[in-house]
Amino acid sequence: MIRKELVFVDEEVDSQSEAIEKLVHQAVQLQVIEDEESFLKAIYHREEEFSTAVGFGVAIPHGMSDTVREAFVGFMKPKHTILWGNEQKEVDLLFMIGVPESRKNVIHLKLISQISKNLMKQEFREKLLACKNNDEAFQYLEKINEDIAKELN
Amino acid sequence: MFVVGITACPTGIAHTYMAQESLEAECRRRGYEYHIETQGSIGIENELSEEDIDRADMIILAVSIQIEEEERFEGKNVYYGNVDEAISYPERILDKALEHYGLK
Repeated sequence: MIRKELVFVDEEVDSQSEAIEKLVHQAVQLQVIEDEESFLKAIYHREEEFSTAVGFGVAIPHGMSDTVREAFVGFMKPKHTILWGNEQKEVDLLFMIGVPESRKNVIHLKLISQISKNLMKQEFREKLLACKNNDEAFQYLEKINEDIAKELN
Repeated sequence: MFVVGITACPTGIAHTYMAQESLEAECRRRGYEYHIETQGSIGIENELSEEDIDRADMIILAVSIQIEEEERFEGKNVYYGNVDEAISYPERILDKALEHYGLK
């Protein structure tokens, strides 16, 4: 569910839309999303309902759509703080979540809910902020993912 | 102090669970006993029993959608909060609930 190719550390993006589009575009390249436009629509629809910048420098743009082939979590730590939503909240960590709408996989949803919970923990955020490259961040996220999976079993 | 609550957001993928974690952490910090149910895309988890609801000093519904089995709270004094507020400002939501119940 977490792929190395969807982990970006110190990415040069200047805005919310640039960050979102970078992640979505990559997900399309990896074929976890079928149609770029419809997933972007799902993501922006959710942002319009209410900004997903939840505080503590974290934003979690997410979309539920059948253009998602396989549930995924993408991660980005922008090189510079970006501003998010109407409130222009500062964001340093970005988690993008995509879930298929009709083919729900409970295990995937549980993993995502646990990752979301981890985001509320300062230690988890600090570890991610300290990651120097994509590899380091990927390995940390992968480990968390495995720990959660073990707990669920 | 025993706090029960429910968290639920429109997509039920992330915010629901972040709000749960956030409320639980704030309750722990204050030394309160707690039981927070989630209603997300997985359905109802950590479900509140009637006994929990009867015994609770405060009932906090931090929801931005119509919840399932709301009839459990019929005739009860309930504090409605906002799921986003629960994530970002759990201390505020608990303070407001205390005020609502005249416990402050």
